[in-house]
Amino acid sequence: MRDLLSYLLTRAGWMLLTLWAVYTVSFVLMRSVPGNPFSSERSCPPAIERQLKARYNLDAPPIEQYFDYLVGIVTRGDLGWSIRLEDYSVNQVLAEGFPVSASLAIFALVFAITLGVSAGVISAVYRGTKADFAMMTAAVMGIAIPNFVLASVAILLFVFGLHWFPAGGWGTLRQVTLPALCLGAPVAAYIARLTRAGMLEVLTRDHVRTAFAKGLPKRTVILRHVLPGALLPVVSYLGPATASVLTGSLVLEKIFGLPGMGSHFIFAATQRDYTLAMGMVLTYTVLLFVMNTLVDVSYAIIDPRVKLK
Amino acid sequence: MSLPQPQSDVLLGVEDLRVSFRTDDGLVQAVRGVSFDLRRGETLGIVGESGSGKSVTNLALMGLIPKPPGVIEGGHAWYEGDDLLAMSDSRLQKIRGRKISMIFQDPMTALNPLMTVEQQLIEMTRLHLSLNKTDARRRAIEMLELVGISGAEKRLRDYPHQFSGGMRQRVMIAMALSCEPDVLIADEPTTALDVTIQAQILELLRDIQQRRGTSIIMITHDLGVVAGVCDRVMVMYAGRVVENSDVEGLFALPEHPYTIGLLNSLPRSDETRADETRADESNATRLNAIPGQPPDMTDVPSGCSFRARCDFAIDRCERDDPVLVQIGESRQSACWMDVKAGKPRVSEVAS
Amino acid sequence: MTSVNQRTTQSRDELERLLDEAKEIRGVSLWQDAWKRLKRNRVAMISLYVLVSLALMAFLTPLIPLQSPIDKDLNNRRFLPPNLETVVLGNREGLKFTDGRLTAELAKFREETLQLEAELDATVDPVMADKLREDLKQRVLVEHPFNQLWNKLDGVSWWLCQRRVDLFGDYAIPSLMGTDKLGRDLLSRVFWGARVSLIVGLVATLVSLVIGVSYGAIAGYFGGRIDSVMMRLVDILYSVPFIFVVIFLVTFLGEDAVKAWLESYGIDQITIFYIVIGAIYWLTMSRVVRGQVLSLRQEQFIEAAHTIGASPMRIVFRHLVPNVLGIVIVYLTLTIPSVMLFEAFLSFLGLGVAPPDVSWGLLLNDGVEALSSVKLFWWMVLFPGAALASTLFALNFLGDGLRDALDPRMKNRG
Repeated sequence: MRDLLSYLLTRAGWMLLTLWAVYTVSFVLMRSVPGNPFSSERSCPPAIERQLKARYNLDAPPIEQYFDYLVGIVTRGDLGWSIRLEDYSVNQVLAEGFPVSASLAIFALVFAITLGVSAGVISAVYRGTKADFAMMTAAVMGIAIPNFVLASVAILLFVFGLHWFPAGGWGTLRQVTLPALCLGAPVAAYIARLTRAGMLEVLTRDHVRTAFAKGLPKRTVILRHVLPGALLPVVSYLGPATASVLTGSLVLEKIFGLPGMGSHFIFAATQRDYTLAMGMVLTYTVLLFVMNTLVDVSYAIIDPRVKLK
Repeated sequence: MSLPQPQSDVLLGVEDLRVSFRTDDGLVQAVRGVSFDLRRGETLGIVGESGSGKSVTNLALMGLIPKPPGVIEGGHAWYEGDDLLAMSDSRLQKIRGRKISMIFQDPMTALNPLMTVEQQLIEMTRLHLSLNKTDARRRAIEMLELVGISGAEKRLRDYPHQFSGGMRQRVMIAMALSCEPDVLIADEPTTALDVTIQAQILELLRDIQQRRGTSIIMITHDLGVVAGVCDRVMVMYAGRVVENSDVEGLFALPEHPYTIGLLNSLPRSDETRADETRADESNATRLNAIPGQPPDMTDVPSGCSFRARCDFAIDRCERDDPVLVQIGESRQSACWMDVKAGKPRVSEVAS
Repeated sequence: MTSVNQRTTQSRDELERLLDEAKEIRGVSLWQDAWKRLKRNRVAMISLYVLVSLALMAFLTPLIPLQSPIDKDLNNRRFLPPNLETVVLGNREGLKFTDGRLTAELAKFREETLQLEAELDATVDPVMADKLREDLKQRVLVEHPFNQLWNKLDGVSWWLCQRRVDLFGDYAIPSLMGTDKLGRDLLSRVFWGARVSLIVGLVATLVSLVIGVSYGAIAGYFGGRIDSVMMRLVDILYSVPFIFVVIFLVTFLGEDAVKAWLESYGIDQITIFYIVIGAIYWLTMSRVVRGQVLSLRQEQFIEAAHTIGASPMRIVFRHLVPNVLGIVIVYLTLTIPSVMLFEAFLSFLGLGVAPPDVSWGLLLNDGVEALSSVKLFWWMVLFPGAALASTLFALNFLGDGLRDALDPRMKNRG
């Protein structure tokens, strides 16, 4: 318990340090864009420009801006105002987009893990059969086809062709399903391959032979003695998997027109909305850190030989 | 060679077992017609170098040969009137661990690293003896105490990596014996351990056998182990039994040239240990490795598989594969030569 | 003193030579063995052939009689489905080529430039000569028929293009894959896109390779404190959402002012692209290499190298790195696909390769845009998608095959 606590504290410390580094780099980049963020637009009346500058604190010397902004983030969690979306603060945009993206990502991950692990286990147990071959071919396809292609084809087929799913919108399960499936597919494919490889690896270990020698039924051996060990690489992959789901959601949200963080991020990036983009990067960093910490903790729970540090 | 009807004291009768493995390099004939009996309460040693088929023989009995690539090409293994090799998987499961159990060479890897010792101990008794959780736990503690692990109750919660090598092997033994099996197959149980620990484990096995009357098959390449614990010995070479004898006879008068070679390659055997000076002066002559390599098992040459390394080889060895013949009351050897007499053996039929 | 030094250097060299020889023996048999095993793996070998021919075709694209990848024909050739209609290179009216043929236009152009050159030779006045020379250069740049049909050909491609005209004249392969929304031939765009996609995948992976291998090898070799600090850094970097940072960076670097500033140093966007992608993908590579080096460090030949006093850098790069090559190659074949996918992904978001360059990602993006329920321009997704997917397939299968071949423990499995 003490170990866990000190581990979590260390991780939190590292996270703060990383966030600070990301913030600093972003800030420097932001400030080194020639002119100010509004320079590319039509010249506006001086009064409005003054107002804008006051709002974004652009009159202060850079160092002061750096600290003011940082203090705002740390004390109030205030990420400032969006540059392009008038009258929206970054926090507001995040608050709107986060639930959408989070539920999409969770659905996608759950789907990917369920499908990937089952397919991997079946493949490994029935190694060399047609089912194995079919599933592993599907898995390679899932890895090799970009998910925007998959999503576009899926829309064409399931929305316009078969009318199984609604064309857009957000909120109901039916509306979440298709984007979540498309988002989870490559991750599921990867997990299936990892699981299969892990199973085959563990199946050759001595302790599995021991388990068989004990007279345990095959099912028990597979589920109790092989699967946990085989899942260790899958658990490690969940960190990168989260990253990949977050990345994929940029594309998926664009294609399905979902009002999530991803589409806002793309907007921010293409419209050069630096405050928004930075706020997003900071949020994603927190998410990924939390996920990686969870992954490490669960790894240590599954494998008693691993010590958290 | 055909066995007579299993006598009452024969617990396990193996007949003409053949096992092969399909590999990229061809069919490896790992076991090529092995027969032996295991009697109630005895310890049978199986000796041979790596690749001689001693482990494969026993894994085949347990139905633990991975298929593919392994193939049981033929043979029978009679146990309580049934053939283990012909048995359905579900029936075999009820025998594995319950009637015949096995311990392995490397206690570091033979236990599941992700489960506590308790979980690994109780899953067997719960399955085979249908014990409830409390009883199974009590049984586990009992077993750990039997194999000499102190603080058994506390150690149940530990994981294998928290035990030393010798302790792990004790846990393995406790596990293997927890359902009171008739047969314990010990596959090189001491090879991976330090010498002092080896002695302790052997002592433990001998002690348990005396107390419970379990039959033990002791697979080893260490003739010292054989001398220490076995009643009878079977020497294997290239997937065949070359000599089968009581322990005293084997050490006193080895029959087969391979056995002779094995004994000669020992730095000192148990008999010489008492006589230090003789061992010292004879070391130079006694320490003789058998020259050459075992044959390529994908392409076993016709005739005797040992002849290329044999000092006594005669023409016949090239043509015919020697069969196991009865040469004494409790001895069999597979060689065309009577080495002691220095002349070819007249054909005798094994009874 | 010096003589002693000399002798030790000499014997050191001698021992090093022996060491290298010993390693050579082991290395050769390892690689031969692996090659033997790989050859037995049919899927992996097919993948290897596919990849080799793909690379060859991509390199020789200018030599293949394809249509122009950039010449638009909005009037007659928009969204043509795959067809076998013969195409004559340069016959689009808008090009105003002589006789509507590239060869004729080329001949005319050559004549004109020859004329100019003759004029240039005749001119004595240096100011006049300079002006004429400048004119000539401009003409070639703007009006040379090649520059109207192809985008920024480099030296080799230019030469290959000329050979193609010598060989095939005006013949061009029909639009077997159809045309896109601007009437450009998809077949040739897929070929030209292959060049960009493959190069991006390859170069970015090489960048990640160099960083990852050096980092991992150094951490693994030195071990202890250095290792734990270096690996802690990797752990932390794993938690940085790099792709977002990259997008952020790409956006920033795409600012006109920044772009101009970078270009003044001779760095164009695609170079930055390589470096940035490579910089994300080195993390896993460094972990893998470090693990390998850590276990190799215990081996005897490394100790032997220590004993004869080889320097740490020498041990790392002469003795350790070659021995982790196997795993590195395997990982390489698995990184290239992810980089190529990432390129496609960025292109889809409009942040990657920018027109008039073509890449498979860009083509797929065009294709996806053209997908609608109203009219199915399926060929625009199918062909670039198939090209990308089969390349990634091949790379994946080859990677798997290599892993099995280099790791005999995996023999007889799946």
